[in-house]
Amino acid sequence: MIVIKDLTYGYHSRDTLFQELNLTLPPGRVYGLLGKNGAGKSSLIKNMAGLVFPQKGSCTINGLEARHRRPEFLAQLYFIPEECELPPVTIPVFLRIYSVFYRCFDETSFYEYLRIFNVPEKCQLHKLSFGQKKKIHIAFALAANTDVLIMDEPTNGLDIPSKTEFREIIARTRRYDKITIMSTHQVKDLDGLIDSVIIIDQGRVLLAADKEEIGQKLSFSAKRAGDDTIIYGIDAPGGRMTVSRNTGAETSTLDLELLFNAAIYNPSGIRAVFQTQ
Amino acid sequence: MMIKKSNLLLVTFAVFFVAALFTADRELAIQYRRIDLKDPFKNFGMVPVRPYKVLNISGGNSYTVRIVQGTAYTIRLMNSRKQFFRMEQHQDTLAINFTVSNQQYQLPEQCTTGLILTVPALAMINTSGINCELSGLKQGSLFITQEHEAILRMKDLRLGSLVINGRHSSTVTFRDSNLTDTLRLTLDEGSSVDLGPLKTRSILTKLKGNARLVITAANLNNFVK
Amino acid sequence: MNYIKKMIALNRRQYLEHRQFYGLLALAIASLLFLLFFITWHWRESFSGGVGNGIFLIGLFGGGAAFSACLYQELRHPAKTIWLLGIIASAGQKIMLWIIYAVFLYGLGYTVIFYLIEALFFSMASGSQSATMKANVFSNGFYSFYLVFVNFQLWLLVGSLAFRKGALIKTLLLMVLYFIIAATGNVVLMKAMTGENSITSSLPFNYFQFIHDGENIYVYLPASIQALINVSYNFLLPLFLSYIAYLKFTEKEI
Repeated sequence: MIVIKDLTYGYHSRDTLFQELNLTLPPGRVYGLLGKNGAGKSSLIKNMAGLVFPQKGSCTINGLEARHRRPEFLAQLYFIPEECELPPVTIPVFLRIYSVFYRCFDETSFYEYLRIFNVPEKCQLHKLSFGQKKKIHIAFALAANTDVLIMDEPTNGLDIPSKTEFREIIARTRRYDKITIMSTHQVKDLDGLIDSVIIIDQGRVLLAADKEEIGQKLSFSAKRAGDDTIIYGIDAPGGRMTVSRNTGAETSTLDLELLFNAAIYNPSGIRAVFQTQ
Repeated sequence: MMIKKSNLLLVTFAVFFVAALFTADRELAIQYRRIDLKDPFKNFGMVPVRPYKVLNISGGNSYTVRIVQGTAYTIRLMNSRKQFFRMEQHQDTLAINFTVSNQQYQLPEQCTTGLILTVPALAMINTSGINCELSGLKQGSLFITQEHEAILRMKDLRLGSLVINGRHSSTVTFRDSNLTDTLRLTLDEGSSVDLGPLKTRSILTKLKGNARLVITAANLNNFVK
Repeated sequence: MNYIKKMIALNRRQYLEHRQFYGLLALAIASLLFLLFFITWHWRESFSGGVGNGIFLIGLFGGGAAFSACLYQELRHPAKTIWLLGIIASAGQKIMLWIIYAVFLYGLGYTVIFYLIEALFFSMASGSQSATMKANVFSNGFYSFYLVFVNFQLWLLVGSLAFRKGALIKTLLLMVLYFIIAATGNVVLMKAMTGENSITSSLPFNYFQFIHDGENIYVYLPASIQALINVSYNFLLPLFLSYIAYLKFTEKEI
């Protein structure tokens, strides 16, 4: 479990990005951390990974303080940054070097993911394209089987077929008792992949809820203007698409992009529904 | 903003460093005030030594080694040469390895003196690579062996018998007044001896391999009849 | 994984990822040494004896800085730093491995390369002066430069962890600046403290030299104080710098 308690963080002491932020992420879910560029997504996940330190408060994974970066903490976490680099070695050498650090590393799965990603097994890693490097990182991360996997903009640099492959791999990977966090501003890329949504903007959590809860409280459908349950609406080619309060037992398919826009353009409306801070 | 522990320690270290520097400089100032500028040996420290008969001395030649006649066996070592000085004493033999880098920017006579030995008498001197000055000895016999480009200047000696064995381009120069009954020279491999104004009754020589012996007219005139 | 196994795993990583660079650096150092030996041999009348030791120092410190530049390159790229910080090992183990590489393995490797090249060169270029041109590293206290080298490498490590950009250059510049200030500043300080205006040189925590009646006179610290300073400089300072490097590593943020 990831517990963020009273987290205050900023690049400078006078200029705080997060002010006493609280968030608890139980295991067994795939979290989509959504936000605009500069919303603080990367800072939040870097706090979780112990790559930056909070000014106040704490961030723990299974009770271990992130900022201490103890080996037992690092063993529970795999962090894929937005920009990926790989050493000048081949894949077998890469595996020889790094797989030993991960107790539950599954080499067969690693090669399986590489096959799905169409990454050649015989290559010098540092000569690969940005997207290929990212694929190797993702394959390695999933094969490492850590309790927590954090991916910062995982689909950045991936072409359209690769994004499909990425979705296939994430969908195939069953991380029942583990936490997967994917941070992105490309909301559509995570559609159908995530169990829980966290939307942040200007250092505040606008929404943190499971898909089920969202389905219970919100309705995504075409509605005419004037309905007082509408939180957000946008004209689309197929008609006006809206996010509205689910007053009855309405069932609708979660539209992540619509939800994201609703949270960004009508944060008070979303907060009122979900009673967030 | 909270200062990082490492920066705090570095600042503390800097403060400590400056404080220690001032303390060390203060101690240097105290040492400076203790120096007697009239003392000819103010740059030297004493090294304890027992009497000996045989002196083996080797090493670089940037600094001159002076062996002078005195009433007791003493060693004065230039303070700056301490780290290059190694000494061992076994029975009647004193072995000194006086090593500096083997550079020589000046003429041998102009080199700074780095080591001064006073001896009442010596039976044998073996030098290797040393720029040496020997003066004032008055005794029956003296045996000198020189090798590895050793340089020896001799002054004011009064000896019954003097034996010099030289090799490896070593040189011996007699300066000022020197007197000996018999001089035996065995020179090899480019070694040379300049007798200068030496007074002697007999010279027995054995020269090989580019060895040189310089006998001047003044020298010949000084032969003891 | 226990401590030793983890150190072995970290070492394997350090070696396998950089072996190409190690090979190239060894080759570059060997070529440079050969060139320096050739220059000093060819124009041997222009060089006095003892040049071997000088060549040794050029390679030790110059090559050491180049080696450090490679060793700490991961700290120059955020993505690589994140990767490094995420490796499942303690900060102490990672710092320890760097110190082993930068100080001990480089020091040992360089010494072996130096003597091999020297032996090779003088097997080809023999002559009357060859004996005096050879290095004599393990006598006359010259090996104390190894202790200076330890501090030099550790300062480079601390600098690499402290500065985000141009760390190596900045650290080297700071070192040069320190030596200039230390050498000239201490002369000024000693002049002020003693009132002696003919002080010509001084080394902090060691000595100063002045001229009296045309004679150079050296003033040294008492042996006991000098011994204390030597122990502090040669043993306590490396420990302190290693600890600072450890702290800097634990405080590292991306």
